[in-house]
Amino acid sequence: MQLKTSLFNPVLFRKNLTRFWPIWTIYGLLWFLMIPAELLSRFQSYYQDQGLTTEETRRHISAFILRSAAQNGIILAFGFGCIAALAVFSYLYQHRSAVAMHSFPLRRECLFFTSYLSGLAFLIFPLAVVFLSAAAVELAFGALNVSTLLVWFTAQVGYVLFFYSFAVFCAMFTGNLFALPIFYGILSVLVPGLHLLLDNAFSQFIYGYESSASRMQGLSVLCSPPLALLTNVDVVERELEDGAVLVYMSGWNLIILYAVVGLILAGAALAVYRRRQVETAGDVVSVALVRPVFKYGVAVCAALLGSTMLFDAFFDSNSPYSAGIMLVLMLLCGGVGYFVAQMLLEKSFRVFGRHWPGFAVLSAVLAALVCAAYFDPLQVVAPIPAARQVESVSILNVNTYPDSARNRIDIEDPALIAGILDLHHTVVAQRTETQEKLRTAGRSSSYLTETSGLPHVEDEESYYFRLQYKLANGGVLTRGYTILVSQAELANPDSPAARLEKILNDCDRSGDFMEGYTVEQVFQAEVNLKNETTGEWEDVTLDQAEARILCQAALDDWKEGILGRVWLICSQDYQESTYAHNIGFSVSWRDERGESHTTSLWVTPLTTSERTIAALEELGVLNKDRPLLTVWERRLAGQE
Amino acid sequence: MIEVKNVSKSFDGFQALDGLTMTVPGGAIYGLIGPNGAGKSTILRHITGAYRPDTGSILVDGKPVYENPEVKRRVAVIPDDFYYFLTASTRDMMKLYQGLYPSFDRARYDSLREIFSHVDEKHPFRRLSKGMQKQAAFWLTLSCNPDILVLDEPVDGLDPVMRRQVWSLLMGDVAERGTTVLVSSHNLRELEDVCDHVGILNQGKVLLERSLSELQENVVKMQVVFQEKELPQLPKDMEVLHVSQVGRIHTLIIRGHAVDVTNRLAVYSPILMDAIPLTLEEIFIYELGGEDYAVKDILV
Repeated sequence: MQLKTSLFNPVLFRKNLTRFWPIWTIYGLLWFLMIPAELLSRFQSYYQDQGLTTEETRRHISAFILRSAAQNGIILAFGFGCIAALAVFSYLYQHRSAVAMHSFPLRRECLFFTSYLSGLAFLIFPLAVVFLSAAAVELAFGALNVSTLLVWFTAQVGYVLFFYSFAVFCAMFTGNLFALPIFYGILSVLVPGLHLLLDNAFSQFIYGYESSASRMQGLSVLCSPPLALLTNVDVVERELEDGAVLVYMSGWNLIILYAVVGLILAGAALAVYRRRQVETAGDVVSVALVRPVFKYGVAVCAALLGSTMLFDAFFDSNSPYSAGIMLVLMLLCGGVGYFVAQMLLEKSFRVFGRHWPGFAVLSAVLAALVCAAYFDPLQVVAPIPAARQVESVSILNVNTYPDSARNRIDIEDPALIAGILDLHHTVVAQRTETQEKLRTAGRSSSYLTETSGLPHVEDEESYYFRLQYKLANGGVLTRGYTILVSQAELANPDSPAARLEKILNDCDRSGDFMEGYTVEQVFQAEVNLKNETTGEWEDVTLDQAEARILCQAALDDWKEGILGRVWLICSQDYQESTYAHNIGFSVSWRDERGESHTTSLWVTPLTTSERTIAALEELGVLNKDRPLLTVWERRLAGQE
Repeated sequence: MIEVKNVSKSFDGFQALDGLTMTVPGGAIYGLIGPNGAGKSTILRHITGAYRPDTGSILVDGKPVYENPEVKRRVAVIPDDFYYFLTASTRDMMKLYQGLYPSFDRARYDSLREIFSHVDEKHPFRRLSKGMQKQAAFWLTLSCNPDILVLDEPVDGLDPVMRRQVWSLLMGDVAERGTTVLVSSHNLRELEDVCDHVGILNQGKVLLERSLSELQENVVKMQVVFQEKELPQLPKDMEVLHVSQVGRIHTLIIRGHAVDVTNRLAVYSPILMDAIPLTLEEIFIYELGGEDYAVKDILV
């Protein structure tokens, strides 16, 4: 056989196909079961049973096939892309095979392209067979839908081009069979993973820091191809004006982009392969320039992950020493990661003698990172946005007395937003004092329980809340803080507790308990009262007319600023001012399809809500046998 | 002709080859010998084009080997650990070699079946014994009709009959086709019978490189009984590689021609004097003894 100096060797190509037949066979079989076999089953049973017209059948087929493309295809291409690369370039991972293959009269370009095309053939040939099989099944049942099959096939080729080429690229940097899938997996989620690690680490010691659904997060997902494709590629069904339904796949820009990136990565892989030393077979990292990247990368990831896990397990993020503790843990875990990486590179346990200078550099970098994040002189890590940057704010983890059905409050009023920003600045400014107070207070949040039996008054408790800013640039910034709520703090109008309580009460003033529903939608009300004569609890139900009278009275009280007051702690003032009964209003509403739904709204009467109480008396809900009891009275009654 | 010029190669800081220079004449059977870790296998891998040198060049008939299919298709190698595909048989590997080497001769492959008759060519390679695998390796490689054959411990694992058969085939190729054979082995007694050139490696360098006849002519073993029991003061310019004594018989390994050395020792009027040619093994031992790699007397 004449051998030309070419980029492809057909003998080696055929050998690869026969040697690694399980890979393309299993891949093809999986797709065959998912599409042609499934189509056959549906045609034989489901579609006929449903009596679908040909057009409806085609639409169902389209949706079914495209859904396979959208989700299953990504996962299969991700997995089998790596397996194919591992197989065709496996000769690089053993010294014996690497030397032998490079002794053959083939240039490296020929070896690379022959192997690369072999792996690509593993993945594309089965897709072509599945395409033809599915078309044959559709044709047999008179529902041929070539365009959808072409969409499916093209999407799969795009996925395969990227994931397989990416795996080949990773394969060029390692000489170890087990390292390739690990590198491939980690690099696939490296950016969002690092983002998450940094977020978690910062949240341990940076005051108020919480992970944000920011632009960075969106960008970091885009840098993770499997995540980006899984979140952006979808099947859309749209009804057209003539009543027909159009089914198509969204996210094509991303698929094409990644396919092009895949081809670029293939070219880059060839460039690396040409420079790669054969004797690196068996090494974890085969390219000398990448070894420091690997070593320090492992060290930093170990520092972030290990320190976060240990801190979570053994320490409190409210500690004033949290930054110092995190630094120590980072140095410890980073050191472990550093020397373990060095052991993997040298394939020896004896690495401690010569590599301390590198560890010193790593320690300095980690210390600088912690200090920069902790002190944050440029307000980069935990900034407080300016008022003009904020579109709206949500207060989350709201926990008030009386209990509120909602645990988040959304605010768009500029005056209230300004108040929240003041609160935020106050919390940050008083951070040291707050942490000291929390530490010396020594009490965690506690809640009254109905079964406690004794009137229990909360003098002070730690209170955790979160602020979520929706920014004008589309970003979302979230911060969480723990403050001390006590009588003394509430008495000081400049304290974080007093400011927060005022804001929560002002927020309720801007709306009401109706949550956008009207009195006319109310059709029933219910009050749970104890009959002092019988000792039994009764649900007193009001009909529509009575319920609307009561609702209007409550709204009037609300508008006067009487109803809706909230407290941050279960103080005696709260217990004596608030009745231990809730009034529930049932409202009905219709959705856009005209279907009817019901919702319950709750309000807690206070001792000062005169209109509401008067309405309850007039409607005969309250009498001497069924009085309203305050929380305090109810607890006292429980004592007897 | 294979020319290796000033080749250096290091692996993670370890200098495996240190400015190695050697020349393998065309049509020669060149024996590459050296202690363990001298760099023999490393230089062989450079010559087959698998390794890229850090510095220096490897040329075959004036053309570089590395990444040169035109040269590499003339070179075939049998390493100490022959590579085969996991599920392949000898026949499967034959098809691969047939596709890679244009000079592969199917007729020769069929004719060699008779010599390697104990190898079942359809049996998976991995299920053959070590000796059988080596035989299959020879079968495949010789069928490629290479101009240059590189062998690393080639007869290790072969029985004596097959060894003789293989050497006979190799020497036949050398005689008929002018094949150049470069062989690395620790079996110096066997190499002595087949090689016409020898290169001794140590610590990544070629210590000496000569035809075997020149090498043997250049060192002589003298067994001498002097007038006195003790060894007389020998001339300083006489390069004595080794001295030992049993009773009154002194054994001296001296660099030089037998005739010259005999004449120079004659001035001491020895009672008895005999010049004995050294074996390749003895040349190896005594040459490297000068390089601080002598045989040590160890009492256990």
